[in-house]
Amino acid sequence: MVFSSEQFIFLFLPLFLAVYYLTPAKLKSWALVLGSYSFYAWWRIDFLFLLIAVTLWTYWFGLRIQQRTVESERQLYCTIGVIGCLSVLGVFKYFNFFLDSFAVAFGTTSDALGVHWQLILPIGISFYVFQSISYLVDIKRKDAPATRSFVDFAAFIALFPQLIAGPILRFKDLADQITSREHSFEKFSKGMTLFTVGLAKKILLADAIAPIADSAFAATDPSFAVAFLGMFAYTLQLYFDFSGYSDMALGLGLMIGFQFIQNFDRPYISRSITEFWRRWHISLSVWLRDYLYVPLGGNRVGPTRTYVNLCLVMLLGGLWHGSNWTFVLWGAWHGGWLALERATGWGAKAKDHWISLPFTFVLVMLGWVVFRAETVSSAFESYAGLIGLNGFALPDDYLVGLPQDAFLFLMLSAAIVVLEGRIRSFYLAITDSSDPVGQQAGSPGGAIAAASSLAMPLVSATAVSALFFLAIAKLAEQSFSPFLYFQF
Amino acid sequence: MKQRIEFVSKLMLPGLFLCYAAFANVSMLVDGEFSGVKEADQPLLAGGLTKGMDKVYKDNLPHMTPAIGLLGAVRYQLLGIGKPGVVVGKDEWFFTKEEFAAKTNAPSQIDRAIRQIEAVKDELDGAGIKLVVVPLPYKTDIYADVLNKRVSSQEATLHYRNFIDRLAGAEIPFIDTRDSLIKAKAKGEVFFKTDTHWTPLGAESVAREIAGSVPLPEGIEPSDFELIATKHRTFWGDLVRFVTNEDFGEWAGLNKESATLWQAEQTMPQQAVLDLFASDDAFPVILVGTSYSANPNWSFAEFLKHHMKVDVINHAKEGQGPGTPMYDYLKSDDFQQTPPRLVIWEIPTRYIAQDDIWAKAPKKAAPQTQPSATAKHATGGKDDVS
Repeated sequence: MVFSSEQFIFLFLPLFLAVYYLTPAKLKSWALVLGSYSFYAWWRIDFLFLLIAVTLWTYWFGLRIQQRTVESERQLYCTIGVIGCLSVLGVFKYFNFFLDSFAVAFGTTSDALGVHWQLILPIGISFYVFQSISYLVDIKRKDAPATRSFVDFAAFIALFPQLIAGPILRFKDLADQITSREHSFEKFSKGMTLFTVGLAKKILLADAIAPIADSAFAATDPSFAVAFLGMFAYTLQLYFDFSGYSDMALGLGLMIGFQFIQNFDRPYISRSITEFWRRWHISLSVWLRDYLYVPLGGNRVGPTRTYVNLCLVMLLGGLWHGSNWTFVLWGAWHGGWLALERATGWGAKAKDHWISLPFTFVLVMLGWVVFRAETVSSAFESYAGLIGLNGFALPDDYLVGLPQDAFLFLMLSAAIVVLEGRIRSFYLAITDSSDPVGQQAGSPGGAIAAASSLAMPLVSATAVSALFFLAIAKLAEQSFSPFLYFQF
Repeated sequence: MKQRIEFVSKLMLPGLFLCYAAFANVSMLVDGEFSGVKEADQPLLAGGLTKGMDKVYKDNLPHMTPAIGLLGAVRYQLLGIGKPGVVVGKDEWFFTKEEFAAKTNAPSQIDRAIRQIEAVKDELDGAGIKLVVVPLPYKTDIYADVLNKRVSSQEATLHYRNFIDRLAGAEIPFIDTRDSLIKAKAKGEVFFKTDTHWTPLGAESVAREIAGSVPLPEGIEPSDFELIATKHRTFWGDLVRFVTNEDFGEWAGLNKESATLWQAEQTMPQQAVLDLFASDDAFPVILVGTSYSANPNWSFAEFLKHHMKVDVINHAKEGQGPGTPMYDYLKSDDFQQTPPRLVIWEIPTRYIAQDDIWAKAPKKAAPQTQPSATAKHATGGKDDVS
């Protein structure tokens, strides 16, 4: 089920909230598990069993690791547990990819080898497998104790706001909230507001500019103008799509009392690729750092190994996004720049340099081209367009094929990216009840200031409500549009 | 006071949302919308039932129709544009996106169209029946003057020209309808502004051209058919649904189309009628084609009867392209038992670039970009008849 769908917003969410809030505190984890399983089963009931199997496996190995006192045994259980989780990912996500690549390398096809499996990629698998791995590793490292409550653990793995596309949570960060969390009207209202912001990002911006990117990446021999527009539109589409989803996830979490980690922090104002990864998909960056980069030795093993580690982590991070060489190349692109920035010290210097922001933005956009392309060769077709090998003009038939308001939304999206920080500050200022403006009633003009300050929360609530219903209205006229990160 | 305002502010969105959600579910329940939930073609374990529920929510929430209409109307009022599927020209002239999207594969598609038409011609020739193809030009070709600057009708004109050149090269009899439509523009609109189809004026100009160019088969005596205006109908053009819906059409500042429906009544002595029923050529002329011929609002078949002075039986069908109605007719008992002398085949040129029109059982020759499932077909909805 997609957050930005009528059945989620008008059926699942109100029903779940009613059941959840009517459930006694002691049984709320049960409500979470059953609600989350219903949410997942809405897509396919059969793949729910895989989610439950991974949950059982991880839970059992977590307890075994906890019980062992000998380090080698703890390591053994952890290794087996992690391998089990990775096997699920390997079979459902990577088996055919590696098989096909192997077959191509030997000049044949996987069908000819007779071992091609028709597998459906279970939605959310990359996310819940990563959460399972972090749980086992944290117990092994004694960073967190294993939980004895299966239902609490199942609630953590299946928690529906983040089940399909993150943020990637860690049990150690959430354990306290699962056993006990505060529910308040204020939290609920904030959550609803955040959900609305995410819904608006997805429906009003990401989906509105998607046709520009889609038709550009579908074009054969795109001109510079088409390739550039496609790259720029996808850069914005992906951000508003994924950060919109993350906002909705955080909002839904707040509505049921959870506080998740922020997943995006205005990534397109980054002044280096190093900074970009501190601002983009933060939960993945943290996961890759803690469970891949650090075990590989991080930056404690000499400069050369550090560069290798950076490249390797980003390469695997790229592959995590999908079983396609395009993602491997994308990972290599980012890994290469991270290593270069570390080698030259640019990551630290970039902050003060005027060129750093546009330069980083261009690098990120160039990376998104291969990330978005269906195949490596089509990515290079786009790159050929970007260096002008297919001319520079914008063909009329490309324009006619697009919704006529798509460019308007593209410009609006770009403006929001630029002004996002100010918009957020402004919103926080007008909704903050402790705003000093409201306390100046005794000063000249203070009464007016106080009155307007008093009305601001009402104005902002009206604006957010209008935004919600505008997004719902726009949703009504468009067809099913899943989030981009569902495919990962 | 401050606390009360803050409370109301915090309550507003959750309150509105939950109240509307409750209202929406109850109203759908009362209206029996859930009784229509059908399991999709997939098994239950693979989400079959839930997909049925998804459709119920996508189609039947109380806000759907007004939201679609209102957004479309506001978009049109503010920006002067519609949804994908329509290209808005000057002075409220709408064009289907098909007329722009269908051109890229034209050469190979024309080859295929010619082969298909030749096959039909061969079959009819074999039965001693004459075929006349009536290719219809693009609306953008006839009304290039009301297109916006960034779109061009050159491809449309070229496509039509290529098609008739190939028909001529293949020695397939055809009528060049473009010139007669352009000439008729001086008398009034030959296509509706907000509909893909021709007006009765456009239909009549082509019928007159056919009558002037195609002699009646040998042995068929001409009969007079008097045109009688039966109804005056107003309706929303089919392209309006790509802008807004019927409820918000006027709100968007759009106007309904109107057409007079004509009926051709035979004027002949009683004896002649008896002779006609005695004849082997009971239905000598057959019309096959698309909605341009099938839809009674345009009266094309009636104009043909009047100008050709012969009864014309209409086997055209709506929404199936030009291929399927012809194949269906050739397989029909009517064709087998009472073969005609002349078959007029109306083919809108823009259709020949679509992949499915020559399939024996095409899914649906609908516009390539569909509006939301909840948008109702304007001409299929309520017509105002006066």
